[in-house]
Amino acid sequence: MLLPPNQKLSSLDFRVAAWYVTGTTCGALGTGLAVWMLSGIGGLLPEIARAGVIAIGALFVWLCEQGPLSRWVSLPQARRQIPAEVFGGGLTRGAFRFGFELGTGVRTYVPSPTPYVLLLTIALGQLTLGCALCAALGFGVGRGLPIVVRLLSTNRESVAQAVLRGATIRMAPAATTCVVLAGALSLV
Amino acid sequence: MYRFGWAWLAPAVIVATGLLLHVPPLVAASIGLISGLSLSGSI
Repeated sequence: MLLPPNQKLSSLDFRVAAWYVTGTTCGALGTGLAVWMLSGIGGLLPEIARAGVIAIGALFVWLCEQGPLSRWVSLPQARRQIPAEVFGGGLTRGAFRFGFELGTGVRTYVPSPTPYVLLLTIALGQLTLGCALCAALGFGVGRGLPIVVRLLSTNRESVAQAVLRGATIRMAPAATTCVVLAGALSLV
Repeated sequence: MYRFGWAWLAPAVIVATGLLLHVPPLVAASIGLISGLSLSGSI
């Protein structure tokens, strides 16, 4: 945990959180830019084909992550935790490195279908550079947001419990995948 | 794991707003945000 669970927060905690979010954002922008630079190949396909591939890809990814294919098909991901050595240079620097590696989306587990759909969208959607960077920026901020919420809430435990209500493990990934897919198809 | 529960509905609303208003960068940022939240154990 980057922040102490129940202690009063210090200025160091705010610095750690800021560097962490900066790291997740930079990492995501790096991956987003790299994928966007390789996305020219998507231009070989007509618009309807690109939309079809993204839709079928999203369904396939969801089936592999949450559905019946999860037993047989393993989606590409780094099956390891980010090593603790990233904190070797100090807490703030470590927070940045840790966030950066998380933000890239390729350095540790990917336990959700939606990042794959996002990747497909940037790779095949023929997005403008601005849109691709906005998507990456959103991803990085979303990756770092929980620590900000923990930082801002006065009673972090009660906030966590209150927002837990209504969350169901299986339904949320399906719903979010549908929302991301709808947004993705509108961008193609 | 720390979870927001239904917090993803907020960016989902932004996606819908971006679609209605035809603002692609807003839609792109929102689907990125949802994807990031989903990996953060927040969804």
